[in-house]
Amino acid sequence: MNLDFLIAPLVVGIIGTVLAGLISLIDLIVNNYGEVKLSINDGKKVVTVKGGAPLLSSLAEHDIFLPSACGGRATCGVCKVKIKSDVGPYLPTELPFMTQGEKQKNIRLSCQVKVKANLELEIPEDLFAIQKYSTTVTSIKDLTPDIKELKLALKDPNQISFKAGQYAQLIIPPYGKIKQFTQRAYSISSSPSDRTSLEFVIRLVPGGIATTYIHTLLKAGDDLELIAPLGDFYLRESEADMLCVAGGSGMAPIKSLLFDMYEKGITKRDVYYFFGAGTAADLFYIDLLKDLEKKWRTFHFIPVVTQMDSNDKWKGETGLVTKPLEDFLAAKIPKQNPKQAYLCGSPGMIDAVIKILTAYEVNKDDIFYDKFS
Amino acid sequence: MTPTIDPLILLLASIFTSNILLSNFLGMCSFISISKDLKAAHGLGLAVIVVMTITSIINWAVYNHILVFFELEYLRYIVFIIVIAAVVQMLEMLIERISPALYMGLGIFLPLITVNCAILGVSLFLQIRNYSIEQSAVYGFGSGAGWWLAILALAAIRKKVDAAPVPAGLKGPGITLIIIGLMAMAFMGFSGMLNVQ
Amino acid sequence: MKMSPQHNQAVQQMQPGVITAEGFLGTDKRPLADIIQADEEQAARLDIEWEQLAALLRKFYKAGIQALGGTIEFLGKWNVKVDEARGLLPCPFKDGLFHKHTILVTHKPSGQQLLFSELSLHLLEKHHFLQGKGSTFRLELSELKTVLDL
Repeated sequence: MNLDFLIAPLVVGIIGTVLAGLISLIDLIVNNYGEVKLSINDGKKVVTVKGGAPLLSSLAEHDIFLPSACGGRATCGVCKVKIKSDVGPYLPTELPFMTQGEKQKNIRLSCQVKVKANLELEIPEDLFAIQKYSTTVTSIKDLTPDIKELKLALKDPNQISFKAGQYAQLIIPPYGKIKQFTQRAYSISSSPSDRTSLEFVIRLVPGGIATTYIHTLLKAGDDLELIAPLGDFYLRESEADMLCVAGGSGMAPIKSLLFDMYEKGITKRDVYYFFGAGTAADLFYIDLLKDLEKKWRTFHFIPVVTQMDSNDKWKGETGLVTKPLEDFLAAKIPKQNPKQAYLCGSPGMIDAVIKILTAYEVNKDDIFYDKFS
Repeated sequence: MTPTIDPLILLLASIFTSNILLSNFLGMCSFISISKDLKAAHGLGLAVIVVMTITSIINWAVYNHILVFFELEYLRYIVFIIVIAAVVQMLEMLIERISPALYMGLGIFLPLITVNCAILGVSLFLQIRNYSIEQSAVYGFGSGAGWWLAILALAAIRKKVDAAPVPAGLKGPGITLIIIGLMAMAFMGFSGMLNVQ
Repeated sequence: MKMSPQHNQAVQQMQPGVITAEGFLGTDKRPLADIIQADEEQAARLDIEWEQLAALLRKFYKAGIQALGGTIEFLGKWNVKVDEARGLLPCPFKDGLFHKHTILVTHKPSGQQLLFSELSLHLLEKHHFLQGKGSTFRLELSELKTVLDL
């Protein structure tokens, strides 16, 4: 039998195989960075990782969780870290998130920087407390037509300590047509005194990967993983009058702050809480906070509805949340009192509130906020 | 029959008188699209020089020692392309490791070269013209340098033209093609001065 | 119309779960280039200028955002409500990052509503892409014409 016809495919095949072999050989040699040491905060903690992976996930393997809202896809710009060693020029994916000052300090997006050699990093000490928790959903209930309250019981580890106002990163598993894990940040609305469970207030975002899952698929008894506690929005000790302003699901961290203060007996300060919602139907936790107002003499709760429907029975304030705030600052809150402000809501709302506060001579350093951006 | 051409003459010929771009019109697509920006043009030009030199040597060896031996000359197109693709892959990995700065500079251009027809053209020319291994290496490098020179020249001209009052309909690719035509005609003046085969 | 590599890449980004939960194409089975071309032809028939349309929608967006999450009346004829969520969305054509702002416009005389996002606005303005039929954020030119009183 004449097998000549086999020669051509064989030769091409062998050439191809040899080249493929060469490529994998080079890959093996070139892309093997071996064991790499990451030295954090001048050697306070040193971890050894396998080189070649992004810094964010290399640190996560050693249970050091940098905050990241998008889970490593260079869209949130939260996972910034200061790198003292040289890791090459900024990547085009990093640049949109960097200010001039950050570039001078060599602050990088840890999800984009690959670990190729020994690195020296600076990470805020607080971040070492951050851990991954596995939890079980105990209840999900409607607060308004598009906001749900999610309660989780911690399983492993089964206790958490956090500062009121901080947030957690929920890890949404793949579902339906969604093939990868998604991470999204939500403020904790429960009080830190409850160390075995966490509560969140979550608004449905049209087309949102995480909120769609929580609103339509998640049910009591399901397992959910999260990373917590994160964020630097928490109560600062002071005697100053406290102004809280929140809109919609921005209620969450403020609720946690207020109940934490009440439980710890920090009830001497005058506290004003302005809570804005679109219509009366969008208000929630009103009875809960009115109750708190009755028990806590110096706490004043002012819910505001932007627009009245003709059939609403709402008797409280109407208009933008900034209106009663200005009224109170002008007439009811003594001008000479020092003031501290805690804001949570959309960037538009926060910018508008900051403008008013600075007009009433509240120091910029005394305004703390959690922007949805 | 291997032609008897002094490698130095071949080098000059491949850069100037038989410029792969302006006399053979190979590698046109990236020539037009990347020449918008001088820096990118320079990066791509350098990448072309490196890849062209290496692939012409390897392809010469593969052709004369493997394909000719098995009488499979007709497979040269496929085999040349496989070799070019593999070389680009390996170069990419090596450059990323050795010089991250150069890797960032070349960026997307390195993988793009896989489909640059000038690279395949050079490999085919040296086989058609029966070059020796030394001649192939010199011709590969020279053609790459010629390509680099041509794209730099075009990028510089385009920068100048950007500020010129070009009729609206001719803006972009239109005026670029006319410029290339003029450049090619200028290079035509060199033709016949030096022999390449 | 020929699909360019950019189009093919964009289509991958538009699949459910890549950028948004339900993606950008809805139940539309047409190639991306055809969707865009069909809308461009319809815009020409309806005498709609893309830049003008985008500028008009941007006015609604700018007005709505003043209401800080509430509903605001705009030019007497419309109600506008802007919802903001944390984070940014990349454009599937990879030319920018956009806030997760959704803008709901209600035309008071007819009660008809229009939902778009900061990203939809960019897709409309820069790519003439109104999303596939069946997508939550699909903009129909004929509806735009009635809701916006063009």
